[in-house]
Amino acid sequence: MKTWALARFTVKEAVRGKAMIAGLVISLLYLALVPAFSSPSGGNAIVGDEQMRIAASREFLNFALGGLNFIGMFLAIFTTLGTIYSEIERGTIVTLVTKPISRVQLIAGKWLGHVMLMAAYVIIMGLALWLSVALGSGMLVWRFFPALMLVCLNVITMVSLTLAFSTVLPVVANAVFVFLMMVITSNLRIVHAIGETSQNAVIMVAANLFRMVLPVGEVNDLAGRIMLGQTQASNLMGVSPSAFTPRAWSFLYELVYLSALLMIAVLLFQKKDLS
Amino acid sequence: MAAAVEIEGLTKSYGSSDGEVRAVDWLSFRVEQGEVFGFLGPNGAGKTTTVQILMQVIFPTSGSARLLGKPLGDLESRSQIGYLPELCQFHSHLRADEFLDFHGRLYGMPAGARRKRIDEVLELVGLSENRKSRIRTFSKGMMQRIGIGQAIINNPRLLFLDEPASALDPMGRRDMRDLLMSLKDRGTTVFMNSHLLSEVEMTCARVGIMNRGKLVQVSDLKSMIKPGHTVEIRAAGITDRVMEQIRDLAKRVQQDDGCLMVTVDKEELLSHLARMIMESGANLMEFTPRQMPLEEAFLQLIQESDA
Ligand SMILES: Nc1ncnc2c1ncn2[C@@H]1O[C@H](COP(=O)(O)OP(=O)(O)OP(=O)(O)O)[C@@H](O)[C@H]1O
Ligand SMILES: [Mg+2]
Repeated sequence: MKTWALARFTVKEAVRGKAMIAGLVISLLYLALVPAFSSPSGGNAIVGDEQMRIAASREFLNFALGGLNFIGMFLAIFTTLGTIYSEIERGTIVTLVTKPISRVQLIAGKWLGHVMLMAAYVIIMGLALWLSVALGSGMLVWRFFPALMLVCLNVITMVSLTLAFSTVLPVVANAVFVFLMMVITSNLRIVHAIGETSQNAVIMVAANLFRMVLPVGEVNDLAGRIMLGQTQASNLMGVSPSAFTPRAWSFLYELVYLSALLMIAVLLFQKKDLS
Repeated sequence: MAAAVEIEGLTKSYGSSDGEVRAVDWLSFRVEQGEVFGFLGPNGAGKTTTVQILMQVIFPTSGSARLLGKPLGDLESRSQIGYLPELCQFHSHLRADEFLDFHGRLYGMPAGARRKRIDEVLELVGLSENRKSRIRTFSKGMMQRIGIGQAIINNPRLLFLDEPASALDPMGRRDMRDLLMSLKDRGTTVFMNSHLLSEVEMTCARVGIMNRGKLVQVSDLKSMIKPGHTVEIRAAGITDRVMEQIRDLAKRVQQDDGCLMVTVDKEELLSHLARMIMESGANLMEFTPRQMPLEEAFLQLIQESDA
């Protein structure tokens, strides 16, 4: 119950923040503009035969989901950035840790608050996208939902990463660090492509391994695979270590990964002097 | 009954470029349940550090402590403890009643109890009229009042107050005193850091004095300010020679407008002093043993421990 009180408090605080207003503006703009930026066939989805319309709807939702993944992770970073460190700097953490809640509960409450907020955000945005297609073209793209769950998982991972490092890093340093990690691990395809053209297997394997440092890029690719229906075992399992194909187990790995982040957060915070 | 506070060899050092600073140095003492305990010491003595360790804001380098018989960090006993930090840094976007409600929740108080207690507490700290104001609009003294409010919202059995009256106006100080007395009547143990010795004199039964991280003395306030060996002397015709003798006998002699303030080491010396003045032919008009006020005792103890 005390953890829950803290989670609710965290949501309210995050909603008050400037990041949230900016996020709302960006999100509305995104919803309004994403149809225009999607592939040309998406715009013409209404005409053409059934098969083409299905394909076009999936393609559009896949594209839109990729954007949502990025915006969601971005917002997760910015709403979570100072969650522990700013409280330490402002001194407000003292009134929290001296109450009958353990430091583990404090981390849990903060985490839960940010996760609830960001998960609600991703689900509402996802529903809005899905409904716009369902109402616009009459296509019910059910595979969108498992893919949306993966995006949700990515956003939660970014919350966990940002929170873990907000126990030790000031806001700006945390922003730079987490953002760089996200951008680098989400763009390893380029590194892999360089390996491919130069026929350097080492670079290709390294690019693949490096995705594990922060698995959001790979899981986003996995969401894309689900949207495009490329989920047959041949595509996902037993891929060669140098092929840049998302591994089916990457989302399970991500679950373990974010649990580990929470444990790191607790370890860093548990015995920290707060004054 | 377990002690309210039990400290054993508590030490906190901070590393710095020019060696190690021992903010708290091998501290050991007890505060019994139901006591109102004053914790005194000059700036930088280590009072705040001690309380912060007890509340686990920071962690000791070595040593241990128990509160209400339980090791530090025990959540069950923590829910019976209140704490007002030295610096009132609160979530200032909250309104006064929201703030108290949030802290009531953190204490795990059910909704009904919270609602009732918030009204009581706002009344007690004199902020009933400001219940809907945001804390960021509060003055320093109001901030301290709301801070006291969050510390007593749970009806604590043990209350730590780190300089609770430093920013309070005279009315606020009186309210604070009344509050402490009513807490004492209910059996609450109060552990109070303070520089306001007159407040301490009026409220605390026992005091501990710290200097440079070490405990200089823990004792009953009464015994600390018991009729001392200081007398106020008014006499006419004291010759320089007698004055010389007095100085030889006394530990300290202060002279202000016609009155001598003489402190001696032992009680027996007082009668000797009186006889000496009389026999010199001086006219002794007044010879009054003085209560040594806390401030004097305090200054003396600190001086001695510095030496
Ligand atoms: N984080 C820190 N790093 C280094 N030294 C510290 C730190 N915190 C406190 N100190 C030192 O520890 C000593 C005790 O400080 P503390 O705040 O406990 O004193 P205090 O008795 O509460 O003084 P005051 O009456 O001024 O409030 C001081 O010398 C202070 O400089
Ligand atoms: Mg202090």
